[in-house]
Amino acid sequence: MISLQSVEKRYGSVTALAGLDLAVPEGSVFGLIGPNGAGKTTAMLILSSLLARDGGSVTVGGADPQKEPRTVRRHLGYMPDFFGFYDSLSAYEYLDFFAAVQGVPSARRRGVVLDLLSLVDLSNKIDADVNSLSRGMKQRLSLARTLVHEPALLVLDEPASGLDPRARVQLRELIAELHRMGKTILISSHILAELEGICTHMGVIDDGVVKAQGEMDTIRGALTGSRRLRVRLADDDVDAALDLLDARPEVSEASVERGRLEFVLSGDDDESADLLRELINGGIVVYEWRAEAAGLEELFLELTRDEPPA
Amino acid sequence: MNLALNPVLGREIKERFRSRRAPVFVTLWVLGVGLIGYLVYLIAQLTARDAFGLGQAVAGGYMGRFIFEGMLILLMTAVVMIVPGLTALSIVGERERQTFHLLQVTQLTPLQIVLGKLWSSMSYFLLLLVSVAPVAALPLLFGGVRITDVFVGLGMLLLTAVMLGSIGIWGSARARSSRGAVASAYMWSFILAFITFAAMGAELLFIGDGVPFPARGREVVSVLPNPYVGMVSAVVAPLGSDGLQGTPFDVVEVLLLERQGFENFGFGMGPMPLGVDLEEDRALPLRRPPVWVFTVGIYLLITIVALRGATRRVRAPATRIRPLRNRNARS
Repeated sequence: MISLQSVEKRYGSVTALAGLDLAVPEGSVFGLIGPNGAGKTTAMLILSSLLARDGGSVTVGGADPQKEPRTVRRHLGYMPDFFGFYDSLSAYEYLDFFAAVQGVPSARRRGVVLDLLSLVDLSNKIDADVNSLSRGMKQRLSLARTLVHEPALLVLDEPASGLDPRARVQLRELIAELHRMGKTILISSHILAELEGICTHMGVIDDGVVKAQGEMDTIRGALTGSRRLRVRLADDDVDAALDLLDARPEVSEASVERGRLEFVLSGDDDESADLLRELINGGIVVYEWRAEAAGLEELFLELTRDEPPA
Repeated sequence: MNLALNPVLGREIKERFRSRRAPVFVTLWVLGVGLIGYLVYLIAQLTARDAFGLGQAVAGGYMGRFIFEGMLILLMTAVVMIVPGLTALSIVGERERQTFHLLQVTQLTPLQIVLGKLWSSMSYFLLLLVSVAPVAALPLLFGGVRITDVFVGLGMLLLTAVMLGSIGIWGSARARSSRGAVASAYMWSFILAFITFAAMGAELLFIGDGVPFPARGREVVSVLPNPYVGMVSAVVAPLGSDGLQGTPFDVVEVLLLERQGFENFGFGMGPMPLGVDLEEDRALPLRRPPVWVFTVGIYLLITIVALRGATRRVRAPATRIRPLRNRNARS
């Protein structure tokens, strides 16, 4: 759906993107994570046809945003990291205006706007001045705005920024609903917990390059190469299990905590399964085998950690 | 492209007329124009009856002409003072409200955005014109004014408004703050309307070797882009005089006549006595095309250049996004 290859962008002497590669599959919810100044917004502006790149290639739905901006805009809904509202317009008029400028025929506009207000749970605010809405409501109205022309792709720049917990949950549910409706969604955030629950794919960006990207599960494994395992055994089997683990070079940090065996396994799911099989074949009774993948916070910190000077 | 269907125009009109300032401003505007119109009427009455001692019938025609010319000058001043303010914030205001990107990623073309802005400003200005139509129509009751003069005068007002509006929108598209946009729009408006008068004086002195008048038949370039001179020239075309003395256009008429080579012409003297046959005068040979021809040409050119410049600034993708003053740069 979206492909950025070796994309470069400079602001004077500052390099915002230094050969960025990104691939967002159709139908995915792709989380773009990175610290402030990493290049997330610049990348989104480029693929939304708002900013010209200095190098590389970009396609959005098969079209180059620099050469065919109107084609890209037809298929893309862009929500920036700020609210943009007009004075004196009601929620209905606001959406009606954007439906008009997106070319929605006047005969269809009323129905489209009412449906969207219902989708974002703002039907009771139809005549309310947009400036009188709460932050969460404004954000939902902004999301509705991106949907007026029924785009297949949504580009959401920090949508959860500044929202209270309730508003975040509502926004998260809304994004999940849009995903179920078949939309491809590219979403940036530095609130990693928000992305963990809703994203199918993830890319970590730092210093203008993508450090890692792929499906959430894959990227976790690829990034860490290890996982912490918590195992509950019969009390009599703990010592035998420790001996067995000590003999395995891929196991480290083995310890017993409150009757549970904990250790770090360097390897993927297959290695985990092999180890479990070996314990069982060794006559050890295993009540519980739990592999805890690294959280996004850990992954993010690991990937964006400053390299020590050589 | 159908301007009437431009959604930007519709939204702008809604916003403009819903603001609290709109009814207050229109009321003050109508009262102000009415008051000044009444003052012009009193002056016309005084001039016609006391200074010239005219009979009632002639005085009526003279007064009609006097008020008509006075109203046109007043409305042209309103164009110069109001239109830049109406357009200066059009684009930079979108940036400051953070709605500019939202417009850019729609199916609107840059030209549609720019024309929507210009057209909404012109709509507001037209409303102001219509609201004072009863006052402006007073001269028609007195006589002395042809309907073609009215249309020509209005045409020059509108052309000037469109030209200044285009400059305002161009400046707004370039500006990094609303203050800068307003300053830029008024600067160009004042240069064209007032600074050109000063330049005109300097030019006449230069042409006349230190003697302001006559201009010795040479072209006075600085008058060509001046909206007042262009309007007077268009209304009294082709010769450059309404054939009456003591009317508000007189100052400019002197210049226009001298530009056509009539020497020793000034207030109260010259080749145009009162009651002159205008049709006969219009048959006099001209040395050069009337000023309004140049004014219209220059204004059309400025309008095209300004709209083109504004359109280029609004177009996306842009090579860079200039941050507004006092706003943080993007990540």
